[in-house]
Amino acid sequence: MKRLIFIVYFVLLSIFGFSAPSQYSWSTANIPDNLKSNAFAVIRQDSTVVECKDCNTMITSHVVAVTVLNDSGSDFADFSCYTNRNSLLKKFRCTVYDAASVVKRKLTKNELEVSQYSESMADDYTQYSLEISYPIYPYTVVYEYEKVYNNGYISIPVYSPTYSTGASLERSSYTLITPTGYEYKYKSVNCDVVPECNTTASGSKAATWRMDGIPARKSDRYMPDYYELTPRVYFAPKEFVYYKFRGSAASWEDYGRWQWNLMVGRDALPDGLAREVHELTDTITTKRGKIKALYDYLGRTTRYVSIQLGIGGLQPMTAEEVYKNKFGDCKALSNYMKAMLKECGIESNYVEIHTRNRHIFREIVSPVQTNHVILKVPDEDGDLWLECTNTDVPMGFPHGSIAGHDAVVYADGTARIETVPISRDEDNAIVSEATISFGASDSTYVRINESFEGMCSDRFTGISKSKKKDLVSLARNSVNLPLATVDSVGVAEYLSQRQQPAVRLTYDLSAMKYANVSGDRMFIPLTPFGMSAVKLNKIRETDIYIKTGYVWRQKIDIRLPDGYAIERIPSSVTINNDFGSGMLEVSVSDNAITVNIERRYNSGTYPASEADKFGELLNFLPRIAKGSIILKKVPTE
Amino acid sequence: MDCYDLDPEAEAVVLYENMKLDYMISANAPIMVRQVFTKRIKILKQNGVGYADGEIIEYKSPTAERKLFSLDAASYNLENGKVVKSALKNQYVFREKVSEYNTRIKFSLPNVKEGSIVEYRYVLSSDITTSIPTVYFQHDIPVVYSSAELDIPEYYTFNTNVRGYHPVSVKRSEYNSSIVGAQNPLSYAVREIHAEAKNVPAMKKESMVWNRRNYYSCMAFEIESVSFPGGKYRSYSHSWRDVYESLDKSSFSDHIKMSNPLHKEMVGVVPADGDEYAKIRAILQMLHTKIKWDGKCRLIADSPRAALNKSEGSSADINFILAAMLRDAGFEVVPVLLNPRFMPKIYYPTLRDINYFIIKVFLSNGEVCYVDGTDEYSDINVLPMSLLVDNARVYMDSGSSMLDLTSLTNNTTSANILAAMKEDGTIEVQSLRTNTNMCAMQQNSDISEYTDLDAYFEAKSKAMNQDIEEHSLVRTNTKVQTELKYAVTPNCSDEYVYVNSTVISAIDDNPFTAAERKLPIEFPYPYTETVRCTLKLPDGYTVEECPKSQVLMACDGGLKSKYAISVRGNVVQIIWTMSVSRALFASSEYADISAFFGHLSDIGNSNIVIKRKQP
Repeated sequence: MKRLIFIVYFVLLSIFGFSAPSQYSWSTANIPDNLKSNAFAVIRQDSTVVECKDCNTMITSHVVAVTVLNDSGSDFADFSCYTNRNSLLKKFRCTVYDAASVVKRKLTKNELEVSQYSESMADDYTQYSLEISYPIYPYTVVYEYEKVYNNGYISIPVYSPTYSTGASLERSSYTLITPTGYEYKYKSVNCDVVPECNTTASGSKAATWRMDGIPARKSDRYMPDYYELTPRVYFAPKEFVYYKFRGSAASWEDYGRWQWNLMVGRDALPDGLAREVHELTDTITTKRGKIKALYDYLGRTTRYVSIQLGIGGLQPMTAEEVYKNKFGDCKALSNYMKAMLKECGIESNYVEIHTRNRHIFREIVSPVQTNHVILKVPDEDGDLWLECTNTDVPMGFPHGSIAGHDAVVYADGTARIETVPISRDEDNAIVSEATISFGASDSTYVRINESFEGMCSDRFTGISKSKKKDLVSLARNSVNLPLATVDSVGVAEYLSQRQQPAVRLTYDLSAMKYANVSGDRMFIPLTPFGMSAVKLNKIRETDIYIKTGYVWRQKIDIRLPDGYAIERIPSSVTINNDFGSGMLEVSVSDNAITVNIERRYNSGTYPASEADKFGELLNFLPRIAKGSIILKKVPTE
Repeated sequence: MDCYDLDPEAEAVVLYENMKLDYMISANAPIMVRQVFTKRIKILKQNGVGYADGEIIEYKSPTAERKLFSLDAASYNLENGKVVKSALKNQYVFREKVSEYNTRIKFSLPNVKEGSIVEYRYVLSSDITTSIPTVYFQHDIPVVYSSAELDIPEYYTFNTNVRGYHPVSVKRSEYNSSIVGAQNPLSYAVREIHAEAKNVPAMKKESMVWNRRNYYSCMAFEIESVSFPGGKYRSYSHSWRDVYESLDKSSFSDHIKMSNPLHKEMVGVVPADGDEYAKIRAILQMLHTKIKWDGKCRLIADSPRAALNKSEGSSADINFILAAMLRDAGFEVVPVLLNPRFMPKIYYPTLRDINYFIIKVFLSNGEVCYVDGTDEYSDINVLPMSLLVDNARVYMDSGSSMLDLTSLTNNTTSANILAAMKEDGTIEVQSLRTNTNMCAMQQNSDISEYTDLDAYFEAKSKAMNQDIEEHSLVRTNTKVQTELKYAVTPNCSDEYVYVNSTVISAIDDNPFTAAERKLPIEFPYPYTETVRCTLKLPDGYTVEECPKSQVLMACDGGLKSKYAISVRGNVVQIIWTMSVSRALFASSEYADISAFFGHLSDIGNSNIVIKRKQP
């Protein structure tokens, strides 16, 4: 992961407020009722003033006031601020007020927790944090702090004063002060706020954006991502200096030239590696065959180690260094793979992407819009997108964290935005087949054959390397049986008929109590595969977003036990609407019952007003699948 | 070795691991402790390469220091028939200050792939002479051989404690040494401890375990005394009496006797006379409005009064204030020492390993009760789940037994259900569920996750996948009553209605489906669940068949269940109870637990067959 993403996240978390807080009363009686609804906390004020002195120096001043309404809201009042070699936390103070706005406690910078703890192997960050507890709700915590960037900065903090769920916003503002001649762009996302522009006494330009009175949103299933909902304003300086490297963020092309220059010469292969590349690929005649050989070599010989120090947060480690160490981060491993491909005459593109957010805004350059690097190999039979940090991902197929996402693709000394392809709904399928036969004294034998294709196989990446006991556990949890043992389990990774990555799991189970025998009757579950119901909120607030469309087909063959006759089988039913379809079909032949269940979801974004219809589809099959086939003992003569 | 035979699927294996510890005693310098760690790991699979990354913690406080003296590490690969060594480079050794006194040193070895052997050796030097960190012989990957060699001068006496389910052998011997640089050579005895474990299996993650480290094979050390010739003999706490004495000499003793900082506030709020339980509850409620727990578990407090002024404090701050309030209200109180369940168990009577205390209150009728002030949903004997330990210790208790706090209350969840079937088979359900004590505390805590009760019931409706027509809730910290009204639609045919054995599907799936278990099973607390249901059928409807009444019992009565059903006219009566009578079950009981819950699930899936009125 690139280091920059961390900057933005933390800035997002910590950009709050400006203007003297003392002019306000933090009495919680002043909070409008609509801001308390669905809220654990209310952001009373979130004000930021960013003063860009020049390309090297930026000062950000923040005032954040959070009223915590109950115990679950205390996290919203936590303070967290990250600094690195280029920045420092200069001023800090915190005041805690009770519901009547009476000061209960004051804290200073000395009381902040300071840690350089990092999940990465190494990075430059120091975290300042504070968690406040106060016994009586509601209470208000006000932070005032100033952060100074004094050795260049690549991006200006994003104005993003709201949370996806759980907290409302009373008022907020963001003022950007820039000297004459300093140019920047901005872009509003999920809102259309426009700035008020002024000139300061010293002749600088000041632009202020405001967002006020935004109620808290309630969490719900199938919500669009946070980034598709929350109002934000992005900023990009026309010129920047970052670790002494000067560049322009006027356009992605300009930014691309800067990043390209950071990478120049870093793909030179040491002789040993060049020799190995040729040994591996010279005898392979196809382009894809060569790529596969190198992709496998990459996975076999390297590992992911994240080191994000200084400009190394954006500049990849050289291919030579990766060859020596046999490790690197996403930038280093992608650059390494690119270098190996180049050695055998295959061109590829270094690609920056975000693993969570789908969109990169073309109009505004903000490196914080990406957090990961992959590699694109253009190919006339379909471009390949290589995940160089995990070669268990089938070669060339975009996995779930990047499929359908915009990406910054570097080529010809610059960059352009492209969208990584995503599989079509019809490529994504689960086929679950079960054969169930009954033995003596409650014993049942269940043979399961399940295949997962396209995006449905994503969660099984690398499964063939799993330990047997993990596969057994997976098999055991895949079926809804109270008492069962897994007799055998098998797994295969392959390409589906639609040329999509696929995984097949086969397992045999011996189950006690698969069917429930009560007196003369036997109750056989319609399906051993769990089908959970999903209930949406009563009032749907957001659009309905189905990221991945797919079909799940179940076929259950049940061999009837001797001495029983069918008393009840569920009727065949279907449902069909814009969101997808559902079907249950039960047929009887000789001594067997076959249950066919099919559930199909169509990907897309649908209006909130259609939630009832979606709820109907969500619960249609789970409700029916809860039913049983009921057999009754045939009286013996 | 391509594969470790004892665990063929292991991604890596520790081939060799050794920790050597000795004391460096010289006439002209402070005594230092040197620890030399050596570890050799074979990477067996590509997904085991992460074991080539290591970390070491340095410690530096104003009074003590444990510092990395040297670090050598390398990977070894067999390439073209030759062993190629790739040494760790300084540029891949990183330091980060993770807290005021701790610095983490991380390193990443080069050229590591499947088949590599990685080896590292580092030396820590420390002026901390009276504390030896626990040595672990078991890890997340299997270990072929692990050992510890400790040379401890006779001046330092340590108790050792070996634990874990895999055996560790310990040998002891003695030799003589002499003080370096002394004008008159002074010899002293050195006690050697050699501990080793072979073929140690990997420790796997398993659910329902509060702290997995409690079960690793390891050796822990506890200082007993320090005595130099001609110097003062210093005894450290190694018996409960010593612990009490140490506490007596610390601020603990002052704080436990401190005057009530909330004396004025209590007047008029806490009743001076009357029911003692009411008094204690009033005190707890007042405390919760004055100070909030900061999440820190502490035995010793800096200043409870200062914490009160900040309205925020550690467990010690809060419980010292609680003790003062109780004493001020006329109660005799005594602290109960313990370690919360997520921390290491107390094996030794040692201050270092005790991080918490609660308060035992003596009542005028001779009974006692226990309270803790950190959680607003706790009550008398209803303590936060993590404090329900079986090895607490009453301060100043001279006996040998430990106090079991796991079963202070009867924790029940009982549902009374009135159900009426309509002609179409739909069942109107009116349910009154009462949760008491720990069950109430858990529900209160769940409710606090929501913005309000409406949000809570909406979530409940989602979890039940039922539209709830009416709901109400009445709660205290020891009793929560939830009343719901909703409709259930059973499976029907023209001739029959098939109703779940408890009408409302009270019995969950079997949570114990794993094939085997290595670690004990730690339930949150003992509890009893009951469902009493009266189902009224429409006229002319008859019960054709129903599940058998039955009793299940497992684990020597640790798990019990009873299902009883009776039919009188058009009324069906169902009573189902299930009890877990202790919090801890041994891993050897796992098969029985799994079978018990499996059978329970089977009862839960059984049906009452009701014949419709025929035209």
